[in-house]
Amino acid sequence: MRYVLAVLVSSLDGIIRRLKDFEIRICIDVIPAKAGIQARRFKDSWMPVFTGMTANLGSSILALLFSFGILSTAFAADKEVIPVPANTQEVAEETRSIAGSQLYFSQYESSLRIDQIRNFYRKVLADAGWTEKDYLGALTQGGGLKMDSAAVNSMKENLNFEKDGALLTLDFAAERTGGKTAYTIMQGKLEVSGKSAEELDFTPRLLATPRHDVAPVYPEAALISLSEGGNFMQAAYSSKADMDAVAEFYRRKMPSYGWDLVEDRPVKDVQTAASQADIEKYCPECAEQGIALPSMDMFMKELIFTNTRKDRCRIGLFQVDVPKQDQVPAMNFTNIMVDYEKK
Amino acid sequence: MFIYFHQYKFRYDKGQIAPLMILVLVILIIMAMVTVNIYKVAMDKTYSANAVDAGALAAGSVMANVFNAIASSNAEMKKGYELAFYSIQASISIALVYISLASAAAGRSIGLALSASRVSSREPCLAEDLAADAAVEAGVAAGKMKVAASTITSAIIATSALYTAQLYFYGKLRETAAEGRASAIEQGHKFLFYNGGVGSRLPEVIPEGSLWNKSRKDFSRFLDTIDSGNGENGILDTYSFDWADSQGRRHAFTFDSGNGENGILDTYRFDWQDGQGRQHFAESVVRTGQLDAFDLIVTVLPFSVLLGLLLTARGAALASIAFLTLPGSGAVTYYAGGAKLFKTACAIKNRCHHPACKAIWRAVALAGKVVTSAGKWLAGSAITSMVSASIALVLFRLGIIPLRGVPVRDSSMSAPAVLFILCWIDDIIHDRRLRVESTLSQEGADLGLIKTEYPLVKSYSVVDFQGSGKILPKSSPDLSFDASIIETDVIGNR
Repeated sequence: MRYVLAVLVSSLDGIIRRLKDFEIRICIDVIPAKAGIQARRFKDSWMPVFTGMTANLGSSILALLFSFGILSTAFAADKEVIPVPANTQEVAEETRSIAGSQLYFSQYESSLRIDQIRNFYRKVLADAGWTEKDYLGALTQGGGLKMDSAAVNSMKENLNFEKDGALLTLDFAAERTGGKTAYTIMQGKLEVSGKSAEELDFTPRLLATPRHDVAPVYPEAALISLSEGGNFMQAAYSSKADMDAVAEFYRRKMPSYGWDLVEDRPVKDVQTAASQADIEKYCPECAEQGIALPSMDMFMKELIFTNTRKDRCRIGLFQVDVPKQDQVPAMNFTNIMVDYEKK
Repeated sequence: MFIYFHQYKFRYDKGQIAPLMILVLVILIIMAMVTVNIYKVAMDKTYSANAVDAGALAAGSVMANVFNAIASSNAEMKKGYELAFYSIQASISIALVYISLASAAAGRSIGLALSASRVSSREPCLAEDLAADAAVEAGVAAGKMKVAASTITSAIIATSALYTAQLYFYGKLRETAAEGRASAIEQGHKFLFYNGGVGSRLPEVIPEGSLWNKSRKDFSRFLDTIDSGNGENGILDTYSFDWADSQGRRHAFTFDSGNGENGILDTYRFDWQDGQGRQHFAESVVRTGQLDAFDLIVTVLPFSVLLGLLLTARGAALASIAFLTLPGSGAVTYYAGGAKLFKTACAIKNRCHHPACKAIWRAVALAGKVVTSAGKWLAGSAITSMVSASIALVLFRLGIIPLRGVPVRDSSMSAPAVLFILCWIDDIIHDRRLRVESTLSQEGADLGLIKTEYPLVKSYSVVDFQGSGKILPKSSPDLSFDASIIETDVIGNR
């Protein structure tokens, strides 16, 4: 049924593309809330297509179809529909871009045991043309990776598949919580051939647009995480810029969003470093492997804004400086936290 | 006196009712005064009981809202951790896949180099092809390792973003909780005084020419100044309200919260003296536990150790790339160099069939074998680095999972809790109860013959706001913390 609909949608897509010269105004907000994930996916995947077009009819049909939750998989380009075992629900999903390639993450909760889930996916993915790969086995047997068996065993529960250069991994949570098994399926194709790794941006950019347009985004900053509801938003971005430059950007730009700076908290040092004794205490294997604590500095700064409605928006900035060590180049980046709270 | 009446007056007919009437009158006056006083005390008790109930429910409701907000934020915090966790896990999986592919390619290059070495003394032309293939495989391995290294870099960024986001939003949640508690106490006091009858002692409007200097509106405005927009944490240290009534009696209502938690005290006392110099006070007490001890579920390993593992993996990955492709000293260079020598040997072998030439091409092939072996050794070193990177990644993967069942208590946003990546809040150390007390003291009037006295009117109310709420709700939003009165001095413990 879904495949038929996918064909229908692709036809509709063609019609819409032909209407390129007109202007479409789609009101995503009219899509019922229960469409939730599908609506967001729709918005992320298709909004750029619709920009600059007009076809109220087309958009209405699409919105209607989405409201029934029947087009979600058809619209996610390059994402293969993977069957879900019985008594299993998708609880979250997101799409990330790494080095220009899209990776899809779906998180599930199931009443089934890990072995039942593994057997299910082995069968259905083999039927769909996926080949199982034992990468860890290749490393432990041929590659000479020597690890504590318990550590490796916990990773052996995970499954890896490959098809036409695309990867699909099943990661299981370490423990069952509330009688449920949690696992995540990641699928995607990391296409990096023909480009040097240096020229690609490997920041795991979350492909989502915050519903609350309450604060500017620092140029080139990548959205890393997003959590939002009707009256709040918490977003984390990462930027290669210096913290002072980011702070100045927000001081300058926030007033145009109606915000007044009420507190400019000074820079403070964030003590994250554990001691060498902590390594031996928490990770004896790390000590055995000669893992050293990194030389790293972290600084924090906070700007607090309010508006006439007494809403509050906090901008938290964390600058991470990892100096150059031997042949390993330095890493400097700033994590930007945007915390919006509606009064 | 009764004997006198009995012996003399009761037998006397004239005016004997007068003393009796005086006695009855005195008794009636005393009874009337007692009645008035009992009524006054009863009214005060009613006011007081209503006031503590109102204060307790208001403060308890705010506390329930604070806990619901924490539960809701906690669910988001858990969700944020899980999504980031899985995307980081996926990055690690991708890195391990690419390391595995790189390791296989490097292994193949070693195999090809080994074969080239074996056949070089007999078939240098074949050795040339094998060495060239080894160089290609080494290049492929380096390409895969570049992707692995970059993916590890992305995991470093994502892990640091996860750490800072969880730390930042947890810090904000703590601040909000402390502010919410202060607000609950503030509301408890306010509702207690609103319902305690203080305002009713003031005139609606100050009459022209009277000695009153404050009206109810002034009192209301004064209470409005107890606002979250003022002072440290929204509460001023000192509030003062004074007024004079129509008789010119001075009254003052002051509370000092100078040393209170979050700028608010649990006890406020309203003292005043009326025109007759009588001392009165009304006291409000709102008590609930601090909201500063949180049990947190954190990752197995501290953040800096996790970062150390990723940086080690990145360093090892970059080292393996250097072993494979560093210009002039990488495996690819040596394999290519070996291939060139094999090519030369091949050419000599094919073009010169003189016995001397045989010795020459064999010598050249031997040189090619040595050079290819160096490449083989470098590829082997690259594999060793890949293994080191894999070990670090596997340890990282095991270290970033939540350490369930062993919460770390954090009382001041400090070590050890903040050294780890915060996953979610397991619980808040608080009994989910709030108690409001009221005391009203009024000095009696000295009427010469009789001095009236009023007892202290005390009331209390205890509210429980646990409801069916959970700090880690199964679904978000699950607003199940709810306030209800469970004990008062009137009804006892329910």
